[in-house]
Amino acid sequence: MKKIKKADVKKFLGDLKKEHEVFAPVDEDGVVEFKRLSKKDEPTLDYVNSVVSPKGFFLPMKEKILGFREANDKIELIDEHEVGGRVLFGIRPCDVNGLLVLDNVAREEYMDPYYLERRQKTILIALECVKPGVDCFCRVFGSGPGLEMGADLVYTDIGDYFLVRVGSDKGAKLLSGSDYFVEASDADEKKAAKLVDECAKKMSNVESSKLKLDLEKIRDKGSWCLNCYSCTFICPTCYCFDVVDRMNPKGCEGQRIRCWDSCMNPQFTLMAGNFNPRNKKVDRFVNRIRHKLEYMRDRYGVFGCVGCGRCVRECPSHISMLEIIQEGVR
Amino acid sequence: MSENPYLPATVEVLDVISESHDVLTLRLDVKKTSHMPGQFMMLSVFGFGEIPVSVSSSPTITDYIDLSVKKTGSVTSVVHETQPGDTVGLRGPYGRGFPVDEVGDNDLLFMGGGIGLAPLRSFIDYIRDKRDDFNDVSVLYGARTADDMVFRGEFNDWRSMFNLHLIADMECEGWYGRVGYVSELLSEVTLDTENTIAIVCGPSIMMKCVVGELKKLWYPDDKIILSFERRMKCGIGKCGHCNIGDKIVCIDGPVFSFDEVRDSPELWG
Ligand SMILES: Cc1cc2nc3c(=O)[nH]c(=O)nc-3n(C[C@H](O)[C@H](O)[C@H](O)COP(=O)(O)OP(=O)(O)OC[C@H]3O[C@@H](n4cnc5c(N)ncnc54)[C@H](O)[C@@H]3O)c2cc1C
Ligand code: SF4
Ligand code: SF4
Ligand code: FES
Repeated sequence: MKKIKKADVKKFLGDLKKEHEVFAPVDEDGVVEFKRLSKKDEPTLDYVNSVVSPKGFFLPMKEKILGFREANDKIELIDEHEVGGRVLFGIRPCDVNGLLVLDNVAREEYMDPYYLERRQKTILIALECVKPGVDCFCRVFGSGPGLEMGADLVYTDIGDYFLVRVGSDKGAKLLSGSDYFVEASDADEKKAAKLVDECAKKMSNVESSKLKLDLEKIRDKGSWCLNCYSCTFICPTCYCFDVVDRMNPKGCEGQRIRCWDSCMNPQFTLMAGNFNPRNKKVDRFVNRIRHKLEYMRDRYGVFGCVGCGRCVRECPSHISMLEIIQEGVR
Repeated sequence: MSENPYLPATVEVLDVISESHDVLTLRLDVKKTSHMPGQFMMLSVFGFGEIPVSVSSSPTITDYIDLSVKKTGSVTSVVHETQPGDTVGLRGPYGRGFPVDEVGDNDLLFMGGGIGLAPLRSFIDYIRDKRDDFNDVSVLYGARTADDMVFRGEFNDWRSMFNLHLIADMECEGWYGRVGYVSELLSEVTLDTENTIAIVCGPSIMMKCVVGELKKLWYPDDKIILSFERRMKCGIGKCGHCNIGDKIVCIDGPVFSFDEVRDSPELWG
């Protein structure tokens, strides 16, 4: 295993920038978001997590999936999706696991070319957690604070250095071409393991394998929901999208766009003839919870929640996913 | 079709056939059909949107496919302006259709409501073309009025081979047949319920009511086959719009047996 001096991280990222677009968490007025690093940006490496999950790098809030043009009574379709190589530096273990959840959806039966191409072309350098946020509960799902797989490199803060573990050939290549990495000692490795372990112990734990949702209690919580959609947009495992066609004003050229949608949106299931099978707010809320904690588990073998805590933090009605899970494991 | 499952093929409209005052059939230039009855396509009108539509023609027909569309909203209204020679976008076929190869010696009871006859017609015409492979067939069809009945041009053909019974929800001029709901037509047929498979498609409320009546006749749940409709945006299991509980209608369905979905939330809405 290797390690890198904290002071050298910026230089390493500088080298990466020569060949890749590099994105990292940046603190701007107390709000941490992943940002393409410019010369003056200072990446934040002791943050809890970004407000919005980095899923947008793979499933953008809005993207063109088709172009069309009408000329001489013929319709021409334009299917182009250029994706450049990117590095995502400092992504948290829960969010890496969020991507592993999304992979299941993108690969089921039909391959989603836009998402999967970005996945393939993006290098993930993860940053394990040594200090839990107040709302974090990744321990429940084993999706943090340490990271077993899913990233190309895994960093752990051990004081003056980051311990660096290789997770893939791509990751190994990044190290071999760089002078900033030195051999780590056994003591370094033990220290990293201990810090991550201590971090886990500070978090709530419930045995998710025993989960059996208490639907009555969930319905109760659903009645407090304001239908603001915040929870779905910031969640690393929410993937629902809408598809709309747009014409340019001249009317002979247009685009098909997909954009994030939310299952909390009353129109999400609205059909022609005004038939809406999930018309009630409470039913939509229950569906969101069951989708994450039952349907995805049963279908893909992984929970659709990674315990990142974002929805707990942002919900204006203080509805807690952790509490829902705790009430289901009794 | 292409490797990008979101990329439609451009297809020429060969003919536009009026089926009722608000339903028309697009006959599309698709030569090699790979669909099975009950599957659907995603139909694009570029610049307006994309909608799921059942294939209403039988796979035994190899020089075109039919999509029959009821005018109900923004995209379907534009579909209704289509002319022969126009180009539309098409991807699919998608989903799990009717269990055509599994019905064996069972009798078949089709029950359709309104535009819900579209996917059933694909199966019914399939049987017409392969009559010896199937046992007794009954078709019970209801619509709001006689004017709302679709595929009327085929009724004589069907009558000669199957037990066809029609019903209109309400009295109207020129209709001398039965008036009432389609479930009432069950009294017109004698059923060997143990050995009959019921195949149902129509508005949610109609399917719910039909299932209730079939259960009164002691129908086993796995012999009630239903084709469901949900708002769909992708048709390929990605957009999250179409679930009924743990089922993803566009890839697990749209056809389900009642025992698969009996306990699902919001089944009938
Ligand atoms: C598997 C399946 C098969 C279908 N087969 C047929 C058919 O053979 N003939 C037919 O006339 N109709 C069929 N429908 C219904 C048809 O898709 C809708 O009538 C159509 O989407 C309405 O679109 P709109 O833009 O005109 O309506 P609007 O109300 O303006 O709807 C806007 C958008 O909402 C979505 N939407 C609205 N209603 C429905 C709906 N009922 N189902 C799915 N998405 C909807 C669509 O994405 C649509 O573009 C089928 C639906 C499904 C799910
Ligand atoms: S449901 Fe909430 S806690 Fe779970 S992954 Fe989504 S945002 Fe994070
Ligand atoms: S964040 Fe809270 S209030 Fe807003 S939609 Fe989600 S559960 Fe409802
Ligand atoms: S229509 Fe998109 S998931 Fe079924």
